[in-house]
Amino acid sequence: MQPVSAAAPAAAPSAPSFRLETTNKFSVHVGKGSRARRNNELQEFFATRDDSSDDEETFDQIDDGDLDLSSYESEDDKAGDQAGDFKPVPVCVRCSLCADRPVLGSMGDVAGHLRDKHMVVFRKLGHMALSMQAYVDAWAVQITEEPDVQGLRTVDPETHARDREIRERVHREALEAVLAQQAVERRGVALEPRKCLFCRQHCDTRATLFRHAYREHSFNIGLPDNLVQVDEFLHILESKLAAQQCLYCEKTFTSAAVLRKHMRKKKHFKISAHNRLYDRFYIVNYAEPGRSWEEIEAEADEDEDEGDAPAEGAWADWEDDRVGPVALALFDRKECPTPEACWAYMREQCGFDLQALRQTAGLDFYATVRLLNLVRTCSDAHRCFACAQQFSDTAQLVAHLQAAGSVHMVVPPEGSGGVWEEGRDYLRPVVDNDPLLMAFDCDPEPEDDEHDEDGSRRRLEESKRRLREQIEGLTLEDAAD
Amino acid sequence: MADSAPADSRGGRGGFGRGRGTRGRGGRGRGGRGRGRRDDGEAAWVPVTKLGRLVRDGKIKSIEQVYLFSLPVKEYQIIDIFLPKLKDEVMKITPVQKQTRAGQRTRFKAFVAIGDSDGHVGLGVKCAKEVATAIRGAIILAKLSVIPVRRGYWFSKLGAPHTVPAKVTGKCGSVICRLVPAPRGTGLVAAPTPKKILSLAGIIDCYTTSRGSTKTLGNFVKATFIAISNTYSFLTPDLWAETAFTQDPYQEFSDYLIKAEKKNKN
Repeated sequence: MQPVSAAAPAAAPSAPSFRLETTNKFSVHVGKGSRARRNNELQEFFATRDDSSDDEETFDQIDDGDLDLSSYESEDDKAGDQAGDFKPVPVCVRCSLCADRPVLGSMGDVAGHLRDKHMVVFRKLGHMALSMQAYVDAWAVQITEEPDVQGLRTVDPETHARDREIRERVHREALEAVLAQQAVERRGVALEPRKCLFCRQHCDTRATLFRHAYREHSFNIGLPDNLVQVDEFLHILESKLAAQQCLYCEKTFTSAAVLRKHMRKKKHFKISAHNRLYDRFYIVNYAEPGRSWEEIEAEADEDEDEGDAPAEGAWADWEDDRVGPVALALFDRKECPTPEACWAYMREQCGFDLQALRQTAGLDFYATVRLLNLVRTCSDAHRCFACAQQFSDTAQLVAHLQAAGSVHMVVPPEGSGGVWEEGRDYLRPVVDNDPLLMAFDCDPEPEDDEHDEDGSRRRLEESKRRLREQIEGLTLEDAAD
Repeated sequence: MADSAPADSRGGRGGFGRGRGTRGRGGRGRGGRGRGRRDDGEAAWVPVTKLGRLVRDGKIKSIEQVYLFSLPVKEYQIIDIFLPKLKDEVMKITPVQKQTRAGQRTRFKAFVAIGDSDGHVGLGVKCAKEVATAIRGAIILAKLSVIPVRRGYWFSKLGAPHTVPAKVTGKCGSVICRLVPAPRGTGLVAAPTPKKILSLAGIIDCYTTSRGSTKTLGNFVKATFIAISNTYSFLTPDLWAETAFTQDPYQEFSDYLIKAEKKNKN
């Protein structure tokens, strides 16, 4: 390249870094005032080359850039001020008190709007940042209910009990929603392949992606199990990188090469802990709002499980909040919330009492299962299971059963020509996940005396008594011959 | 553009990050959440118990030997070595709150079931400040609680065992769960959550009945687990044959263990 060779003779032979024999342009000395440096095309070249004290080799040498510790100190000490260094977090809250529901763009806007338009000032509004919409809606309801208060109303969670309730409810709902979403993601999106942010490698699942980013690029945004809405999170990071913005200090650079150089040199392969934009992706922030995650982490790890030592306590926390499969009634497929309700309904409707039937007919477990499946099959075909009469629809069948009464309902005999079809064992459930099949065993079976301790004790006493009688009956004369 | 660092310097950079005071803290940043991550996958396992030492050195051939002598397993790596195909499933994460002087303290409780769908199943519960820590702790506890499952036939002894060998029952809290053998093709007639446990255990067909407040899924799941573990406690005629007792591994390899301890001491 012309400029370099022009510079070469300009350097004095005594300059120690001057080496003619190399073609490595990085090691040729180019003086400060030389025309090479003023060349526009070469600006970037010199920028990267002069920064070339590669961290990999010289990480234990201190250069001027490293000595500037002020930015790090301010992170540790002036946490509050640091928040100002980042753009305010955009929120999207619609004010529910105004008829037209204007969109408010940031926390400052929300606070200002509420104060000006609706004469209410909230303290510690920042704590609700993650679930702002729900909070505003709840308070809208509250304000419309309460009588008009003159002047500026101040709502402080420490004094206002209703506010505390509202906050707690909103927090709990937000936390449960986030956990539910994480469960959905864990089964679905987390198993899809994705390309790494920094290199061209494709990773199979989200867990491998995070591990790769940590191992190869020292990029750590936390464990995937602590995150939610990870797709959005990664998308935001990717768009920042595409716009040549550093993820940590948010400075923009001219090209991808310079950006990478900067991130590698300054070790900015991470995101700033103080950037509130990413708060909503971490579950720990939903757990105890009002306390930053640093506080929660710094809190000593007490032995929580000591309180859970009794096994019953540890397992009892998990309540079923989902609605399981509904119990379908046998004759008309009416949906009942629980199996007990279903049995009661059928007893009322047509006198069908399964327990009585089991007692009188002496049905064991398998016989009962077969009976239930038989009744379902017959009822689906609008047939009475007891007398094999055919009807044209459910209503007629039910009417017949009601008229005939519970006396009519006996287990039909097996054999050809009867209700029981040949070749079917009636042991396969007719309805998938039939709750009735899982809940008819309310009383132990007659022959189920494995745990009948009283019975076995009685038998033992009985045999002891008999033996005693026999022994007393024995006399020496009997043995003598 | 090579910004993936070469291996040696990465280790150095990591060390550098941890060594220097403020830089070290800044270097973690959001990675505070990644606390507990190792640089490589896992460092080599150094066993602490006698059983661990025997397993690591391959003296014990299968996990059934551990079950035969009811040896307590205290290190989860033992289970990893014997059962590499275990699949874990996070069943639920619940927030649990406790009232302290400084306000409410929320923790996350993770319920994890683990199994290889071929005769081994385990359950674990763990409570921790972060979701990831709870999940990891629960997986370890689940591995330590892995139990063998005995499967049998309903009627004809053709093919592979597919159902429970007898009617077994398990109780936890107020929930009683009963497993009843079913013919081939019945599938699992059970509520959704116990169904997962049964399929992780490798049981293909089964009827279940339950009593008590099955809304407390935790107790329901634990009752099912206890019922499954009772399959090997049930004496059936095919087990009537006399057992030839053998030496337990601690006795069999006692001199090996003594040598290993002496080596450790020096």
